[in-house]
Amino acid sequence: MSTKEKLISHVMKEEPVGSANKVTVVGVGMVGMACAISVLLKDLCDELALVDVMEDKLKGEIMDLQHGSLFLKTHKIVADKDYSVTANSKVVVVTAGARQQEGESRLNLVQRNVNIFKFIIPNIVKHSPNCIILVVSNPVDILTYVAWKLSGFPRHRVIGSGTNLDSARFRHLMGEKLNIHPSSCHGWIIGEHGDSSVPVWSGVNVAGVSLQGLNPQMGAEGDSENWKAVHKEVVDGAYEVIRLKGYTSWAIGMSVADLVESILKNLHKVHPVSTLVQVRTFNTTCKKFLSDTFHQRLVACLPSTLTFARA
Amino acid sequence: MSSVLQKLITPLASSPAEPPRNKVTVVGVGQVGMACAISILLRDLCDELALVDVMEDRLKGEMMDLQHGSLFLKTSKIVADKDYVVTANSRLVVVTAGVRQQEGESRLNLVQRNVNVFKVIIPQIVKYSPNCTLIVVSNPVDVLTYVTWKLSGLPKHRVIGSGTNLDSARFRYLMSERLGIHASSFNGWVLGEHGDTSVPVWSGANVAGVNFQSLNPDIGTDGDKEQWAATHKAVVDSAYEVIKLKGYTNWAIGLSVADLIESIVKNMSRVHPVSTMVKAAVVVADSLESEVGEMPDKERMWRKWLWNHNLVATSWDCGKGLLPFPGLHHHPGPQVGAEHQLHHQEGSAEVVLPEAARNLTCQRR
Repeated sequence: MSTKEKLISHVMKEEPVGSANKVTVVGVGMVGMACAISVLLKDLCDELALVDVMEDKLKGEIMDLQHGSLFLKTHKIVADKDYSVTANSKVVVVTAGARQQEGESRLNLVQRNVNIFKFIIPNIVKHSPNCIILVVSNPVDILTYVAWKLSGFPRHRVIGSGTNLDSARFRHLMGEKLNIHPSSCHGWIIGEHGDSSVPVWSGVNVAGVSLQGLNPQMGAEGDSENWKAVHKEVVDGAYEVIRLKGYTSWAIGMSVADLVESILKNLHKVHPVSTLVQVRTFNTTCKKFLSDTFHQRLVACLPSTLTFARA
Repeated sequence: MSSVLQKLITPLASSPAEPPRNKVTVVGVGQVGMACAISILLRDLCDELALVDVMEDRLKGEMMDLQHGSLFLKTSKIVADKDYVVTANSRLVVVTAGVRQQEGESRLNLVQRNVNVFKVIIPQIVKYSPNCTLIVVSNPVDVLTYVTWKLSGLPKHRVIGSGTNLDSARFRYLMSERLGIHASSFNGWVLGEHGDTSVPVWSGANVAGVNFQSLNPDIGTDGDKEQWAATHKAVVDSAYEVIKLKGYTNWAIGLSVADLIESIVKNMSRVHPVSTMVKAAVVVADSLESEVGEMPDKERMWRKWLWNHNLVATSWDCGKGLLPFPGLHHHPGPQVGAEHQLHHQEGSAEVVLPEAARNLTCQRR
């Protein structure tokens, strides 16, 4: 009898149970790995799968994560070039594709990343036909649409990380300005994740007290406190970090883990993400459906009333 | 016109800013340093995190990237600077700075270069955080922990090296994979040098208290049919393997360091295998208990120190030429590195374990 047999005698035949909360991360670059470690350290899944085309790097990353298994609560961490390893995922995070170089706009990456998605998305769908696809690759809003088209999924199951990160950056900067923790500062950035994102000044508040009520010029040109610069800093933030360290990873990783948590735990939280909405006709009070609540199955849109100083 | 802030918030009392209570500094923002930082942040271990490095752009970029995620964290202050003044009043300082192994290179090869780096770093750390505990991660960790202790002048219970905490974690992972259980359910210790000459203590390996060696008396020897020793070899080789595949290791060491920091910050009195100072001694059953008893109590986390004397000689032989450092005061105590103190049997490795030493069977690597 082997040592294992002497140690453990089975009470019943072990039947594979399969995982209940499997998360796949496609792409093991800096963003993909930051998503992976954030998901692992938040104990969100019982199985994590990694996929990439670079086999050595993939194997190295998986070994490194597995070596930390003692400190984690995710028992099964797997990786392969072949998408069969992703089967039965609840959430698939797509970070694969080209990233911005210094000074490059996200929109420049479209064509290259569409080509990559034409390979990735059908493979994901084949092995996890009931999953939710979370697109992170840039330009995220466009690629979310592309992923939706390529996957054939209903629109509530394909989302992009959207302005979840922009809003987090805004709340951080707002918190610095007011010396309050970001979680107590509320402010939403919606629209395109990138250069033309929109800060909703009318919604900015602390403990329900609207800051625009205290400072009607907020966000406008005449604002003596220059809150507009805060939003500009959000937009420029990514370029700045890329200039300094070559890429961004930690913030987007934590932002993605935040979204994955809401999905897997069915939290019914409200997040600003990229999704497919029908834009109604524009009139003086512009109604645009941008924020979304999550149910594992159902996505509802919240109307957001924006009074624009300019579009 | 009063600002939004003034209209929004009426202070009830004005007081100077509170100093941090659990400040952690990470020196070095390479892959290992940042993996330590993110693990510490995501485990909510500190109320302030400071980063230091010589590469200013990289440092600022990393700090900004972490700050942008502060909504998702419970660490309100993340700072970074080339100047060590930003590390003031740290409770813990993690040193990851220095050169790392290239593919195929042994950790011992890095000694001289890293000692030179440490001669700059350590005095600055101690200047701004004289009450901190230093955790050394840079390789070769055991040698550099000694160097750090010498350079810092701190008492020996406040300078530790990440040691074989990671080797033990890898060992527990690989062994438990063979058994189909979670790593935390398998208890096994790897001691001695963090690296090629680490020692798996087979006599202590157990699951739920059931001792492995009693089930398989040949375990760990060449005569073992099941070749359990191969698992330990995989632990030793694993770092080289990961470096070959992705260029460096970071996640596992980051998690391992966060584990140590958790024990310290939360005063958990857990037992960890780390690099520390012991009086070189003959192998006796309970030699270390008295050693432990001499240590001041406050910051001490681990009760048993384990150091393989034969391995120590190996590591310190290469370090001997670098010591002593003129002009630095150090605590009188073990003449570490002096051969006459290292009594050991030829051709075998000893590990000193309280109470269990008599029953110990250790094999040569």
